[in-house]
Amino acid sequence: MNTNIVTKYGHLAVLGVALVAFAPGCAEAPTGLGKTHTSKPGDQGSDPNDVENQPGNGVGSQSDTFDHFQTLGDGEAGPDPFAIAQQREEEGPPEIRTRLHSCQKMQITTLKNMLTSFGVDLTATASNGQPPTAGQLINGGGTALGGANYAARVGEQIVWTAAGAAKQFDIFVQAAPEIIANIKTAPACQVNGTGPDMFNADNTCNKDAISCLIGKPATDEHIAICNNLVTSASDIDKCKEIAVATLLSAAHSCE
Amino acid sequence: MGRKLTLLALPLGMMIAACANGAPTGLSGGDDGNDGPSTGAGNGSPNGSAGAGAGQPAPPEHTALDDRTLDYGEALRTASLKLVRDLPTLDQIQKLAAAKDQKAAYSAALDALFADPRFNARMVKFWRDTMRIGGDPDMDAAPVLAAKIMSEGRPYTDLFTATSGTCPTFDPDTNTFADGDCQNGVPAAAGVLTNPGVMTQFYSNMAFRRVRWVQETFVCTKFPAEVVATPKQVDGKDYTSPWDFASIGNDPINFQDTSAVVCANCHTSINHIAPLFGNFDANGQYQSSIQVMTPTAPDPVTTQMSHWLRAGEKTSWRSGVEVADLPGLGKAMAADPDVAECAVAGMWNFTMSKEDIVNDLATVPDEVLGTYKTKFAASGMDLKATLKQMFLSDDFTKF
Repeated sequence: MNTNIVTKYGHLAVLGVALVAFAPGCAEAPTGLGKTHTSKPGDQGSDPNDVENQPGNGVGSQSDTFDHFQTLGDGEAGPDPFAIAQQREEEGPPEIRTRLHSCQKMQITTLKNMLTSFGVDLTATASNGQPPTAGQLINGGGTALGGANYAARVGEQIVWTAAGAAKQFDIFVQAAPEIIANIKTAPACQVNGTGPDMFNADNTCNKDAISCLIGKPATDEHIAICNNLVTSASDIDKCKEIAVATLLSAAHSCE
Repeated sequence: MGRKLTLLALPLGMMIAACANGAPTGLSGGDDGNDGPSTGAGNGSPNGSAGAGAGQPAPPEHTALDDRTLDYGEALRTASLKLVRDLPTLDQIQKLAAAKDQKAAYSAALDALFADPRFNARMVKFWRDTMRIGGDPDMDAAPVLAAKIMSEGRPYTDLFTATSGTCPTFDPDTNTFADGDCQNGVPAAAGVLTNPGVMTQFYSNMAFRRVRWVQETFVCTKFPAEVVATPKQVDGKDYTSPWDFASIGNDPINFQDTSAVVCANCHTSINHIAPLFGNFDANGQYQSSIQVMTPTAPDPVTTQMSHWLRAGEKTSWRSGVEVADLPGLGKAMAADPDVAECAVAGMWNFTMSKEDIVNDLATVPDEVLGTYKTKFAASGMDLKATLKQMFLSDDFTKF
């Protein structure tokens, strides 16, 4: 799933895909779909004695010219010109599309910072038999989340993969109970020393708490969606957690 | 029709950018004013892409740009995530929302973000990803140098011309930099061009990966870097480089081969740069002799100057731009408008969440970039100031 064609107001569509496709597995860590890079500087193509294993993607045939790397990164997929053509076609003319925000995935450090600021302990570990904590999902999910592999000369990815988007939703689901419990005392969510509860006494969603979660002023629509989620299932505590995770995922599918 | 042309043009552009045959996309800018061969045109806009043609003014038409609305709240959220890697606090959100002059309040909030020490850490990360290197102090030195130059508002060209302090360190706990010099025995330092971590990370046969790193990272194009308007015919194929075809080596590797592709279209440029990096060993240490290998079969041999260039050829950044050493290369790069444009385009793509210019063809047309190129030059190549202008722009604050 290449979400770069989605402008920022298209992020709900991304959320929809993630929810429909991956919500059933939200309590488990999805298997990483990304390729694991294990090479180090000087590995592939760097060893002049390893003539047989010089990288592929070359120009011409091996009998009359030398192979060339398609990109600077080991194991990094080269661009598919037809996929790029399709993407650019959908995005529109360059003088238009380059002036529109694209949808960049949340950087891993950003995700960590954000959750920590809401009171989530990313060092916590799950008890035996329990699903991994948010911290465990992040710390063990670098590949799926598009983390950098500098040893292979590959930086952190800019756009989501399906695995990464799904994993972020899982992380939000697992973080939700702590956020609900701690948001009132989280410094990032306090004004003049006082923070909001995530939910009001009547189980409706608190506007200030939502604003803090999404990083901008919450609208009536945000509150209505949150309230609808809370009241639409039989287990209110579970519904509150789903509501928080959904708000986070919708707001932060794009950086 | 237009869609078909676009679909056709992009794969062609991709193949060209991947160093097959032919010209790269035209670099805009157009401020070099000479009639010589085009130099590596990378981020440039497809010429005429927005034009109306035949001298007729384009009729105003409704585009997605017209559907955007100003949203300083969303802008602050996005700016905060991008610049300090965290959300704005509830207090910041509410103060901006309550401000009578939203633009002024947003601008003040932006000032605070750019002054925040966490901005330093974000820029270190940005340059790690851009340079494809990092993770320990040795490998971090080049991205840290770039981030430090940005943070201090120094000219971007210091990245290639700095003669001291070229291996600074970064403390992630305090988000502060500390000066440091590289200890790899170079006769004279030249910013990241003599960085030991870079030389280690991009070590390869004949130093070609180091050259390619320089080209793709700081010019934002793949090879070929130099293309003439009118190709010559060599063995019935287009030879597009401005260099003398026979200026590069043909033994033990025949860079003058034309049986599959015209190697010289790229290698005339590459081979005039590569010898400058040849004396760094696999650990990034500068030695008195060439340290890279030529991949001959069955056994590789130490590269000799004649493997790259014919006798008498001078190392050069581009045709007509001779450079004797890496400090000379740094000065030539600093004077190259393509290098400046690449830096500004990279900042724009960071701002607007775009992909990689080289690998994803996320180029930025001059209609968009021109203003910022001018501001970048006027600011003394202060990349941080230019980035701030982008975050203040209508394009960033409209969603």
